[in-house]
Amino acid sequence: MKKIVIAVIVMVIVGYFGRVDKEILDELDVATAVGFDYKGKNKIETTAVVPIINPDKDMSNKTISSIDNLSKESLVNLNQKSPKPVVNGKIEVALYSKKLAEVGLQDYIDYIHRDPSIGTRLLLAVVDGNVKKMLGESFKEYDTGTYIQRQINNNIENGLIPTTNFHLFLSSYYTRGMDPVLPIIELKDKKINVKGLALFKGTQMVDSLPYRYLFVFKALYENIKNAGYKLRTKEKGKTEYISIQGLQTKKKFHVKNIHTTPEITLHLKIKGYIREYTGEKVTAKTADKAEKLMKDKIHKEAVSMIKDFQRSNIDPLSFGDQTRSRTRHWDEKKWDKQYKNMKVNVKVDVMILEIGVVNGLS
Amino acid sequence: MKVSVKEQFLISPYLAFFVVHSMQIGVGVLGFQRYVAIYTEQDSWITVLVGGAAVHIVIWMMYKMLNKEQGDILSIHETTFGKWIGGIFTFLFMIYLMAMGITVLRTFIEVLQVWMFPLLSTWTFTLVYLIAVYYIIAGGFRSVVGVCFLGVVVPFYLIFTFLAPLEFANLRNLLPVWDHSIKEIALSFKTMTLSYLGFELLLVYYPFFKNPETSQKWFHYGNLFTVFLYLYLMFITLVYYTPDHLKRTIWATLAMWKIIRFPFVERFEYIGIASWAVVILPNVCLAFWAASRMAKRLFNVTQKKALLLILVITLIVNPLFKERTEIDLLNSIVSQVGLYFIYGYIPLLFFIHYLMSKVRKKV
Amino acid sequence: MNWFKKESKKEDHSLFKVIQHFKKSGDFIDFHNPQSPVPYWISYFGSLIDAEILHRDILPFLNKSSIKKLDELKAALPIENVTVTSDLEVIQKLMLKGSLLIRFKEKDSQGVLVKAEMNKAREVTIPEEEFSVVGPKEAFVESLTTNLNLVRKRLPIPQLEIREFVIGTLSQTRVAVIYIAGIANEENINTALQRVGDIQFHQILDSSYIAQMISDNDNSPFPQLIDTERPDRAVGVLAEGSIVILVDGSPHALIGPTTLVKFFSALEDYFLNWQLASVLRIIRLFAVSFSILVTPIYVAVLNYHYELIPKDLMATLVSSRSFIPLPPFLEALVLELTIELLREAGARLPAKVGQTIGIVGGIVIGTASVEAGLTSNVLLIIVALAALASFTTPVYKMSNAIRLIRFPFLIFAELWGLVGIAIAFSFLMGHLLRLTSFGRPYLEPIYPPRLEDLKDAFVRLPFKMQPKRPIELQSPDTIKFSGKAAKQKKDIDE
Repeated sequence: MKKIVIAVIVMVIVGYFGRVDKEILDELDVATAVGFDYKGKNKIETTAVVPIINPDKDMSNKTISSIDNLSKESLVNLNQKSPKPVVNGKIEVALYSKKLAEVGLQDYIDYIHRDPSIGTRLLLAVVDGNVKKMLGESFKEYDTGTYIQRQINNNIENGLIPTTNFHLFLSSYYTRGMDPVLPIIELKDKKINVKGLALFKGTQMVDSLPYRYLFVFKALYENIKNAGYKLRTKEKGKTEYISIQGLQTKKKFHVKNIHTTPEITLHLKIKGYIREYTGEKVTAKTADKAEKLMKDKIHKEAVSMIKDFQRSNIDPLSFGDQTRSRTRHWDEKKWDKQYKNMKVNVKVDVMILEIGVVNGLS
Repeated sequence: MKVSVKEQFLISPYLAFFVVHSMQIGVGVLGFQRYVAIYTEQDSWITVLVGGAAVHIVIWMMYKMLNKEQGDILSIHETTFGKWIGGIFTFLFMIYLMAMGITVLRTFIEVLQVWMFPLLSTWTFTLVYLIAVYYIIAGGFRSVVGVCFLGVVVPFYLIFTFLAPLEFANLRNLLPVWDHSIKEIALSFKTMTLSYLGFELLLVYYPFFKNPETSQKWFHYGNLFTVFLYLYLMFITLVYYTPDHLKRTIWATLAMWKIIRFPFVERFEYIGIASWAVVILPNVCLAFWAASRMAKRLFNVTQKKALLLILVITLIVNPLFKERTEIDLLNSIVSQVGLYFIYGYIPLLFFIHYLMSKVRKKV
Repeated sequence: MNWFKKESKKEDHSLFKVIQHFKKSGDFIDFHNPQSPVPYWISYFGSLIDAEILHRDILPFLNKSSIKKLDELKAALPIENVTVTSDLEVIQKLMLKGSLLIRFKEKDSQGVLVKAEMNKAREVTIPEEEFSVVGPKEAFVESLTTNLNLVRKRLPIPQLEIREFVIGTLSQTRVAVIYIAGIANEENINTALQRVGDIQFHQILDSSYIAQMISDNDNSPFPQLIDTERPDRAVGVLAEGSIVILVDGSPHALIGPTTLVKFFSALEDYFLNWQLASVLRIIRLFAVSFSILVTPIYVAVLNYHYELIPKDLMATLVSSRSFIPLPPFLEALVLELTIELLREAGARLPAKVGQTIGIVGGIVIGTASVEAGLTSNVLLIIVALAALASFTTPVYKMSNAIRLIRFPFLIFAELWGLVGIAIAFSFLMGHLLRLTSFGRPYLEPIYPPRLEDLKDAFVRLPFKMQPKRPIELQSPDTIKFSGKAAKQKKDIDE
């Protein structure tokens, strides 16, 4: 009996004093995307997208925004403007306007990093244009946050955006001898369009890469599992297009003279098959031709791209990390000096494996 | 001096495996990588191995002493230092055991407060947790060992969740191997040792094994498994984080779970933290059991009363630590003491005990 | 109430007075036949006597015989179980159990007691609670003699020992403790005998009385003795070294010592092939953990951990809960209680009405409450599944325990979310670790871990892989059969 009384008292006390802050799912505004716009010095506008889920599962969303000095404050201030508390736990995309990226993302990333409720699969992207406007746009199938996340993810898996998420961004930021990159997207005809790649030095955006270079960049950045590529040739005065699909790439680094003047050789192996050809007939000869064409084109693009990187003193392809991992007592300062004038060779091998199920209509 | 325990309270020697392993795995696992990687970066896994090997030697020493004595630390102290001075040392050891339990519990509550419930009041959680601890310890050493066993087996599935971060692994992070000086390895060795602490409780529960000499083998295996687990975690951490990133991540293990996304569940760290409440249960139970057992042997009180007193002290002391810095200080003090205990005091004791028994034999 | 006991203490009381006392009951018959060669008095309780024995065997004999001495009569009567005594206590006891008393003089102090007890018991029927599709279809009944017969005929060996006790100052219930000497552990037998012998109670209506009185920890929601209505199950565990307790008037046998996992094994597992049986057991264990945890997890996640929910599921959850006024905890509690209500109502009503209630309650109340916006349909599915899962447990008392321990989990989930569930789990773990059954660990073979016993716990491996008796029961004769022949390896085509 005494034990039961004590147990009841303990339960009541614990039940009363032990309460913790509840976050009941249907009484929250669960943000799916957050965006930051540059509004003059030390002023930013924060926008959060909150999907509104109706009982008939109709999707719509609302945006809440507020202008403040710090991103931390402005996220807190978003709560003022909403009937329910806005929570960060499900944010899947964080967008930064190009201007903000050029100024530097340090503070805005630090905030996300510190909040334990935000996952590390979060996608970061730079927006060419007004972020608030993009987040205010509504798309049919999903709420805006999920839509953008899905589109970027699709582009990573089956397209040309190099694999990216918050963890990878931080990783490349913290890696000695590597600089981070982020995709650039824009709003075009009420659709999200992937425009290219933002190249960072630290947390500051210093340059950008247009979309047409993305295949080469992705191939040099990681191993592509599935992508497409288009070639243009002139055959007997006629412009013809060859579409190569199912591309798989593998890259390998070789570093020479590590201790004196490093010289890096990049081996790139590409496999794929011809899917479409506007010319007369796909034959083994066409395949040979396509191989050579592609090899030359990629080589040219890669070399000029790397030259550009060296000129802007950024290292998104982690040449620095490659040499670091091959050297004991790697000297970062010495490397920084050498990098600009380092010799980089690119070797490309292209193999067309299949030419489709038919030889072509004839 | 032989300490005898009634037959029905003895446990099988092979359970030593779980007892030592469960005591070594505690809150430390959630963030030990950073403290090691500060000094040795990609070579931290070497430190894990060296630290584990060193612990084996200390275990061997402890068994040598205990086998000769057929008792516990109290009887070793009595033979080496006599009743009074030995008693004082035993008392200090008891305080250390208590502090160990308090540290584990308070650090876990800190994790809860940082990651889940910022408003969680320390004392209510301590109260509820201690009731569970009391209930288990009151069941005797057998049920404490039972918790050790289940505390290893039940959360075992978590091991597989650490494979998920490998999706974003970069094996280059491990290169170049052996890029750090012996001095750096030594410094990180010191912090790594803290993760291995907990096996020294053998000095208390040794007489509870059936044929205690045969348990040594299992004890070594248990420690070996701990080494394996730390090595596994360290490798995954090192390929997942670059060194500079790791140095800034306080709870690296927890942060790794953030990347997991299953079709039915995301953000695994919340499940991980909750499971950790079960993982640290053996830590707290065994530490308080050992402390109360020492109190019983020292002061001739019933273990129940000693345990209650210890739990009340814990309940009062725990909420006094409020900030991260204070908890960090508590952690570093307790682990420093533990470090000197296993690498300073135990070898010393081993030496003196050896000499004393030689002298006695001649007399 | 102890009138007959008090009386027997007085030495000067005569048999005649006892009969006079019995005569106060309407069903007592004291009959005198002066016409027979030797006049006799015969007295008995009409309600306890098998009239056929009386009329067919005894009366014709008495009416013709000319025996004048009781001892001679005893020898001459064509019935076994005849006693001659003047001990009043014995006479009372036997008459109350259905014996006739024959005297030659009305005020004789001695008489012949003839056993003519009426055995009116239910026929042996099909097991209802532990029904199985394959296997024997006999179930225990209320008669101890029949039940013992069901056990004995399956174990025709001299080592089968049955110790009988009479327990209950009023009910005088016969309790039989059954074991196989040489296979059951001495310590276990002594524990069982001592505990049963020590019971002090006025009446024993069912074996569950005994179960509650001899269990190691009666504050635990978990049953510590399996109760079964299947004689084959009882015999099966006897052969492994367990002890079976049968109680007169109860169709349920008690089995001990036992372990937690044994409660989740159905007898059918041994009749099906081992792969199927193993899968079924795993499903059952999964169902149990699902049943305990799923509602608390729902409450924990919705209250505290929205981050855990995948995006696609979130829309479903939010839309199902959007108009519900109750917080998740109350919502879950209300639904859980509703299910309990339905179950309780179904159990109390006659079977046919009960079924109707189940369907009406389930469909009508469920649909209506979702449409009315009182509960979310997601939770309704969860709770219904959890209830369904709890019924997969083969032992009824265990499924009750499982439904009960869900509520503390629910409260802890409301308090601290997933961490609360982990804490509740710690308590449960501690409790199960401390629990014993006849002094043997309840959580075996999980703890203490015994690989040999794990072969017949979460899975059931083939019979030939289990040549030994379970370690749990500490049988002095550990070998069931020689496993050597089974283990011999053969080469191809040999």
